[in-house]
This record gives sequence, structure tokens and C-alpha cells, in this order.
Amino acid sequence: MSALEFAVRRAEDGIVELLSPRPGVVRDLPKEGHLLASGMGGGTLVVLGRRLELRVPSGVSGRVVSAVDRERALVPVSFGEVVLRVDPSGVTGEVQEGRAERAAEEGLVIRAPMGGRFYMRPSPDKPVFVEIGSVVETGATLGLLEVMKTFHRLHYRGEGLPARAVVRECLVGDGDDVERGQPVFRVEPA
Amino acid sequence: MSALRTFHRIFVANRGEVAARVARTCDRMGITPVFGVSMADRDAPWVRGREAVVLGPSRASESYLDAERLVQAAKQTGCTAIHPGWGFLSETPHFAALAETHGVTFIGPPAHVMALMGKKTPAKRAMAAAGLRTIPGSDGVLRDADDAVEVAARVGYPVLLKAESGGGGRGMRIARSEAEIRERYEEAVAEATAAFGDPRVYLEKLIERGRHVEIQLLADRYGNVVHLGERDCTIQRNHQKLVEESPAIALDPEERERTLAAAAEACRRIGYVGAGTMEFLLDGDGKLRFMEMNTRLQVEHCVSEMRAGLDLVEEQILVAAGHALRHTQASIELRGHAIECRINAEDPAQGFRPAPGRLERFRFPEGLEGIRVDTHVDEGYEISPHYDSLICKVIAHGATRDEAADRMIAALEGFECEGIPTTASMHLQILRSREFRENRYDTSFIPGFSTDGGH
Repeated sequence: MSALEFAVRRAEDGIVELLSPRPGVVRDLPKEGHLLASGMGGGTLVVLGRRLELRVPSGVSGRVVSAVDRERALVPVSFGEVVLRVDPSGVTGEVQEGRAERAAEEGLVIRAPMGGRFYMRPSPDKPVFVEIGSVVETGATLGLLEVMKTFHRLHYRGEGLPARAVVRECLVGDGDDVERGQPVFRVEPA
Repeated sequence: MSALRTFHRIFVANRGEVAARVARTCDRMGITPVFGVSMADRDAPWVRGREAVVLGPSRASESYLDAERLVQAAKQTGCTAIHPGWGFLSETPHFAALAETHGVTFIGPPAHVMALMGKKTPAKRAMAAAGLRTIPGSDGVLRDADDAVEVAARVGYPVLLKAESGGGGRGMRIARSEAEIRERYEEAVAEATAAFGDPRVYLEKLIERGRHVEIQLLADRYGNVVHLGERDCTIQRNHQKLVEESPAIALDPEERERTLAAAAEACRRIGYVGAGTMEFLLDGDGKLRFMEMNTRLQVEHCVSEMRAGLDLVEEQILVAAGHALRHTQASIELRGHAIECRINAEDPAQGFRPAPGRLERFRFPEGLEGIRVDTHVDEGYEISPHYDSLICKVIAHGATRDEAADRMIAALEGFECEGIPTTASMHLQILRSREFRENRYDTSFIPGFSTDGGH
């Protein structure tokens, strides 16, 4: 599926509005509360039968607070019409680094940088950020940590980590509470 | 007569005066017009209280010139037909085909006929085969400069090198000798490539001091064609028409009848549908020679409407919906004389520089006989720098040419416009000139503005 970027307008109340880049019919919009970050898909725009993924442009992240016409599955929009409203205060603590540690018996582990609830996927109906057995590179998102009602991304990045690694095991469950420093993933150099 | 069934909703893929013009007929026919607009036009007078889809930013390439956005906008608003207006994509076969592919009727000719008439030499060949006189020149496009010199020797100098995919006066070069052809051939090719993406050029004998005459045609899907007489559009500045009138009094009645009939027959032969115009040059011997066909409604169509007493947009919609023409040639009566002046937001004192700005005052005198004003603006309208400078057209109708001209003068004298300069004063100077009144002018100068007098 080809992709198209949303246009962006920052409203006065701090909300970021994601606008349609051209006339079309929008569908498959993310639900309220869904977390969006730059590069992620935020719905589909159908133009003359062709489906185009609507991507969140760089510099935008936050939680979806509302969307155009929730009552209908297919919503026709104009150029510049608001498709999604996103609250950027829903996401703070820009980048959190997973702490790597080499322990003889554990191999290489990624630890939670702070305590909170761990999620493997951006929203319940979306695929996981990383599959077991897949290869991750520096900067990849491994999961989300919900801390005091705000979401933080758990990145694969840190001292002593190889540039590429294979994810061998997730040591906690999706939605589990984790403590600061608790091992979350076990990886091996790729 | 019972109302003929057409479309419930028509998408207007254009802006400004023609958008307002199409909406007026839609209203009368009980059709809902839906407008495609750019960001600059989203609060424009012609969309006030109407349905509209914002296509894109002000730049035309991302709004009025984007076929995909227009067809998608038409579909998502439930329109079953598209009116392309004039300019923009009105003569783009790809746009017509895209609309039809997606089940939206294009109000105009079939895409293949549009494509045929869009290329200059195939169009010329088709018209010659159908019995129209053409301008002597090369048989098709030129191979090289040697070919051009050979053709020029045959037809005689001066000659004109023209772009195969050209229009609007660009990509043309005049040559008065073999040396000039050799000097300008490469220039013409380079300009044609740059302006139209097609390097091919052809050659025609240059007809100097001619008159520009065109024929209004109307065809249905069943091979019925009528003409609505001719228009004289000789008065132009930089290939932009300023004044149009009908009938063309410079034309010999016999030549008129012969060419009108031949034009209708040529239109039938190529399978044309809808309103279209064939443009001719009237040469020094009083012969009309085919130049090109505009496969759309024209700005000056009102001149013919005033004489024929019918609405060309309504006829376009009816034939697009599949109805046969309601008129035969015998039932069309052309009455009196009509003149149109195009009023532009341009400053005649500054070399006709475009003058965008806010219209503080815009008013014509009420109740003038035989006067029609077509416009999309009103007081307070902001004339955008993004699009063309036409603000209104004034059409005067009278029993005679003098009566029509006098009515036009009265309307323009009473025209109140503040905030921006307009070309109204230039029109008054033309209409009052002896050259215009005595019909002594041609394409080489504007009556009332010549150096050899006439006052």
C-alpha cells in the first residue's frame, strides 16, 4: 500500500490536528486513546479505489483524542479537513533507553528504565512492536511503558548493546506491571 | 414541454466566472451543483451557501489541475457528471477519460475526439478531409530546417513555425526568409519542448492583417449538429481576446453560409459531442481558413446565446445526459447583433499589468435594455493573484451593430468600480473609435489605439 503524510496544524489548546492531504474517503482510523508517533500509520485514505496509508509526519506524537465522524466507517473528507486530533501531552519523556546488562547466566537483557505497566503493542488491535526471533536495530521501539498515565517508548539503544540483535525472549507479559530495572527482553547479537 | 431528465448533481471542476455561469443553469434546471475549490476560493461568492469540496492549496497544479482530486471529489459527493468549464483541464483527454472510467459523465466531447483536435496537424488534416479550407503549409510536422525551407518555398514567405502541441501563442516563430527559418527553427523546437513537452513543429503561411472568426457548434451523440453562427474575435492583445461580436460583418454572406455548413459537417464526421468552437482566419481574399478547434465552452459563448436565445450550458448538459438535440438548423433563428467586452483587473496605465486587490465598489446601472453582465465577483471580493484577471463580461444586444455598441457604451459609462484598476476605459476607447464603428481593423492593431489615427 502506498503512503501519504497527514498535513499538520497545531491548535491553540495544544492539540495537534492531523489533516487530510487531499480529497478522499478515510477509513480504519485509530481509536481514541491510541498512541501515535511519527512514521506510524493513522488510517487509510481511499482515492479513486486506491488505498493510501496516512502516515504521521515527523515531529508529531501523542494520544488520539478524537477523529472525524465516528458514526461512519467511511468518511469523505476535503483537503485540509481534520481527520484526527492528537494530544501530545499524552506522551512525555521523549526517549527512554533500555538499560543493557551482560549477566553470565542471562545473556544480554533489556531492563525497564522505570516502573510502570508494559505493553507489547501500540494499541490492543495492532501487531506487536517486535516479534520474538526478529532482528532489531539501534533506535527500534520494543514496547511501551505507561507511567502515571503517560506513555514512554522503550527503545533498543544503550551502552554495550550491539547495533543489531535478535530478540530471543520477552520476559514479561503484555500489560504486566514491571519494576524499575526489571529485565524485559533477552536478546543476542545478530 | 416536460422537463427532460438529466443529472441530480453536477460537479463543477472550475472556478470564477465559469463556475458561477454553470451554477446559474444548474439552479434553473433543478440540478445541485457541487464545487471543487482551492484553499484560496473556499469562501468565494460562487460557493456561498453551496456544497463544495476543498481540493488542495491555492496553487492550481494541486487543485484545479489535478484530475485525480477532481474526479475523487465528484465521486465522494455523489455527483454523476462533471462540468470542466474552460481553461484548466477542460481540454485534457486524460481528465475526460478518468471521469468516464470512474462512472462520472464528462460534459464535453469523448476523450479520443478531444485528443484528435488537441494535436494541430491531425486536426488540420481531419478538417481538410471534411471539406474545410485550411492555411497552406507543411503536410504534418517538419523533419528539420531543410524541410521547413522547402515547404516555405512552396507556400511563400512570410511563414510561421508553430508547436504541434501548442496554444496560447507560445512556441511560435515568424520567418520572412530562408535565413530566418534557419536561424529560428531550433528556437521554435526548444520553446515547444520547454512549453509543451513536445519538440515537433509544423509550418504555415503567415496570414497578416487577417480577421479572427470562429463558429459555435453544438452536437449530440446521434450525429445531429447545428451551428449558432459565427463570432468575430479580431480584437486581441497578446493573443487574449478583448471584444467579441456576432455576426462578423467583415464576412461575405456566401463564404459565411458555405463555411458554417462545412463546419457542422466536419463536426459530425469526427464524432464530436457537446459545444465546441472552430477558429478560422479570414484572409485578404475573404476566405475563411481553419486554424484549430476548441473542444469546450468558450468565454465568449454568451454572444451566440444572446442572438440565438438559448442557453448553451443547458444544451451541453442535455446532450451529455444522452438527449438528442432539441433544435434543428431551421429552428434556430439568429437575431440582431451582440457584442461582448471582457473586463479584466488590469491597469491600462501600467502596460495592462495584472492588478489583484479588493473590490471596494462594483456596480452596473440597473435596468439597461439589452445588457447582460456575467460575473462571479461582488463588492468586497478579493481578487486573487493566483488566477486569471477576468472580473466580468458585459454583453450588449441590439437590432443593429451600432445599437449594440451604444448600449455597451452606456453600460460601461455607468459602471462603478473602485479598489482596483480595470480595462473598462480601454473598451470605451475601442467602442467609440471610428475604426471600430467603420469596421476598419484587423489582427495587427486594436481599433482606437492605432498610430495612424481614426479620430
